[in-house]
Amino acid sequence: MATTAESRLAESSRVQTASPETSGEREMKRRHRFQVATYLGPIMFVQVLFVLAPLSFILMFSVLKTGPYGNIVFELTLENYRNLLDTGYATVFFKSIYYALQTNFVCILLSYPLAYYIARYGGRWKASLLLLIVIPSWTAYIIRLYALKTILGSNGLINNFLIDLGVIQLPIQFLYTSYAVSAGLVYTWLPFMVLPLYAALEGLDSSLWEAAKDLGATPVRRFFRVTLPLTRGGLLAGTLLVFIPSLGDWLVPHLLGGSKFMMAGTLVAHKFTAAGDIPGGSCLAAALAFVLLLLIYFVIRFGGRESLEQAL
Amino acid sequence: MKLRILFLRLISLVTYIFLWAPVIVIIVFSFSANKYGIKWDGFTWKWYAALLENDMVRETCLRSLVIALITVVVSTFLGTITAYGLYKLKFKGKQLLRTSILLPIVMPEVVTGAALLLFFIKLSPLQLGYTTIIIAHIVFSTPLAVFVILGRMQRIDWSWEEASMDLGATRLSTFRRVIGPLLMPGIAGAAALIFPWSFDDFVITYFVSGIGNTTLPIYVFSQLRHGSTPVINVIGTLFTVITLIGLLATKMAEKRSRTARL
Amino acid sequence: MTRSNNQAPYAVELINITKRFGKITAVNDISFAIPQGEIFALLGPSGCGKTTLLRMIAGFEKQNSGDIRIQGEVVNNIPPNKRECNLVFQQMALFPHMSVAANVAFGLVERKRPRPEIKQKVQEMLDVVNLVGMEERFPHQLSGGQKQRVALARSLALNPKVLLLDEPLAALDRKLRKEMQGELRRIQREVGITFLYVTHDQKVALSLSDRMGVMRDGKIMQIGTPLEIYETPQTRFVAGFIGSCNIFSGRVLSKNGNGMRFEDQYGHSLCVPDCKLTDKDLVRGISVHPEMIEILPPHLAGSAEKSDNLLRGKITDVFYQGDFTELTIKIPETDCRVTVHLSRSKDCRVPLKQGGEVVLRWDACHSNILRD
Repeated sequence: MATTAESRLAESSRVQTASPETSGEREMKRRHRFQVATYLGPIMFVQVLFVLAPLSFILMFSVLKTGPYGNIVFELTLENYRNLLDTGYATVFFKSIYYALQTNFVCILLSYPLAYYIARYGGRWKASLLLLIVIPSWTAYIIRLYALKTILGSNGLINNFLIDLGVIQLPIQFLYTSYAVSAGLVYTWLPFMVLPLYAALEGLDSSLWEAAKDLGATPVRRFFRVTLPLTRGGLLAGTLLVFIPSLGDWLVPHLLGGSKFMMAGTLVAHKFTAAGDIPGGSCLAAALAFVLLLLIYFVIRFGGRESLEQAL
Repeated sequence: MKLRILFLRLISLVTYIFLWAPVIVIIVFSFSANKYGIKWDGFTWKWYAALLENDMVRETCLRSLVIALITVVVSTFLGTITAYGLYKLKFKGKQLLRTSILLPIVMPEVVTGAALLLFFIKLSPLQLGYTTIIIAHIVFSTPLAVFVILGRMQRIDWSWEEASMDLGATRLSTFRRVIGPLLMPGIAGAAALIFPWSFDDFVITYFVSGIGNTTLPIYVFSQLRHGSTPVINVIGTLFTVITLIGLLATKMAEKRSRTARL
Repeated sequence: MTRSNNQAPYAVELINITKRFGKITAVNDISFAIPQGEIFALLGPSGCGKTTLLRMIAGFEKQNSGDIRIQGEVVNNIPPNKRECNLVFQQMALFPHMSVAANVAFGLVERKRPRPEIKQKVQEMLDVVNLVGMEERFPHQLSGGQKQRVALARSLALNPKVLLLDEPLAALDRKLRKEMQGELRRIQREVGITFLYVTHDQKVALSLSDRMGVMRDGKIMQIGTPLEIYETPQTRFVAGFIGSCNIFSGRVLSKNGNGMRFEDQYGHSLCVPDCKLTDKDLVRGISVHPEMIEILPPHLAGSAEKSDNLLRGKITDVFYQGDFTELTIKIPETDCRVTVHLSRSKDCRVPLKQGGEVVLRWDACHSNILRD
């Protein structure tokens, strides 16, 4: 690699006029096209057929009408989008954004100290401490959510514990409140904040801390002027990994918030599965996707695509 | 100074407890005699025995396993050649392709699920069933594989490829003997990410599975809906244990291969 | 196509090779041939196209026009894995997941040779490069020099018709480089395989090769033995690149019995040897090696012979180099600066200090004629 780069670099100083394409060049072009087709043809096929087509399909359905019997009427209309603004759906969207933001904030508050602790004081236990974060999130997601329900329920562990201690007489209603939903969202997405933050903190040169200390910065200033700015990439990546899925989450509000608790994801799922309102659901899904893409666009603008890809 | 570390420790401890509490609850209650699986009523093995007799669990588990295996094989293969193409080839529209590959990951699962559902029932000749589940899983997990393997590729010195060709190896042979083995950690990493996800996925599967085509998570979901049963806790316990064993085994293998090389 | 008899005189022949990357011409109509069993060095600054040329011979790049022949056989359309030439990479490119033995055996396994033969060949090669006993090591357990030896053994094991080396010593430190240079020469004599060695280091090229070519901007400037290249460079570029030569631009005024009168751009009249082969109008300048110039105190200038060249100047810089001292001397009223190397054994009767006035003297026959 370096060698061709080297030769090209110096050669740029003597640009010559292009001569007609030789057979060698033509053959190389053909081979290149063949290679692109072999290596990337399959993914392009999958992307076009199973990602881009379905997403455009959703967009298309979002401007159709639902007939009186739940059938789809092929008639263009913006009614679904008007409904989105008129009815309570807009509120649901804003509420979802609020919960996603809240989840993100709580995740940062919990993850930053944790990641910092592991990165700086983890020593030889670093890998194990990280695994201890990842393992519980790896399998049996639904079962774990139900266990969370068991813990939070009015007959659950926390309430029983508090009653046994005599702190309260009657069980507190945790389950089916917004607190339960928040707890569930944080529980589900926390590991996705810890890992990029840890990676960013681990990547920091420890001599930086020493240099900052040497220059007389107080711990607080050191954190805000050195550590925090340098881990911005990690924060951004974590935010993407937490904010996006929590905004569109379905299971957590569904299971922990109860049937009345609606978030954007729940609404989409409800329209598609229970209500059978495909155009309405499509419209909601399209709106949700749009909000997210807008958000990602801004993150990429400010943080670079790398932060997103790195996060994976 | 001391206080700060104490504070960090405290928050870390609370977070760990928070993350592990549900798992502990599952494990403890899987041994509890309480028939709703939500209280400690004394130790018992009977739910484990009940699991062995449960045909549905066995059947759905096997199905999920097959789906996850096919997903892993196809998406790591697709991921590998895609990553190779993205890394080695220059062409117009590459950025566009990269962005498009990111889409399934950044879309909420409900949107992906809904879009695929709509596509399958309205536009494709496919019946909802295991084929559509597998396709959906592949669509979602291939991008993960692409970026994990791409990360590994960035750490490979590509003069190895030329060296191999120079020594007489064909492209295929070069991949089999040189590039493949060097990419293996990335491919294995992708598989380790995708397999549990595919095995455990509920949302996308729920959308595209159609009626009666149950995978394990969907079966578990339907059981839990009708009130939690201790057998579900047993399943949760077993999976946690299996994950732990799997992880420990890979760590040990890694350690051994590392010491063997040094 | 044109397969000549088995013992073709040339290991490699390049005939009118041109290679373009887009609008940039990396190799511009190059032709030369390397006889069997020779170490040929291709010397040039980075970016001159030498690596591209090497990669074309190996088959990793395809020329836009021209033929490449390996032992008389045109190989233009043969892919790298079928060409009977091997490349030793600058980064060595040892396979990190294979032991030394497996690395050396790689190509033989690819050729599906029987096991005992492979084993024997690997041993033989490790013996040639002095690495017996290292078979089971992995690349990361080897030193830089050892890695180099493995890379060499790996390529030599296939008994290539020509071995291409892409600055393989560049990554080594100075002492090791020197040692490996000797080793390369010994190994080449032992196996008798033609080496084509690409480098930007003129010292390596001079000391290692039987013959060498100097490249610039995709063209070969001069081909010859190291002696010829060093002592009689034909162009300003070669003279400058090969050693810190003093170059005087100018033209020949007249011919006389034992030489020619040459006048440089500042009007200094100098004696140069008569070159019967060259038309005097083709002469564009002369070069003089710094170690051929003597320094005299100003009052001794008169004692010089007729064939001597004399220039007055002032010392502007003195660089002590250990085995010699490098002086920069400015000729008054011109921009001309002359570099002089004084070896320790040479007696110098002038105090070497800045601003000191000296007279430079060199024998006319040490002036080398440049045509460009």
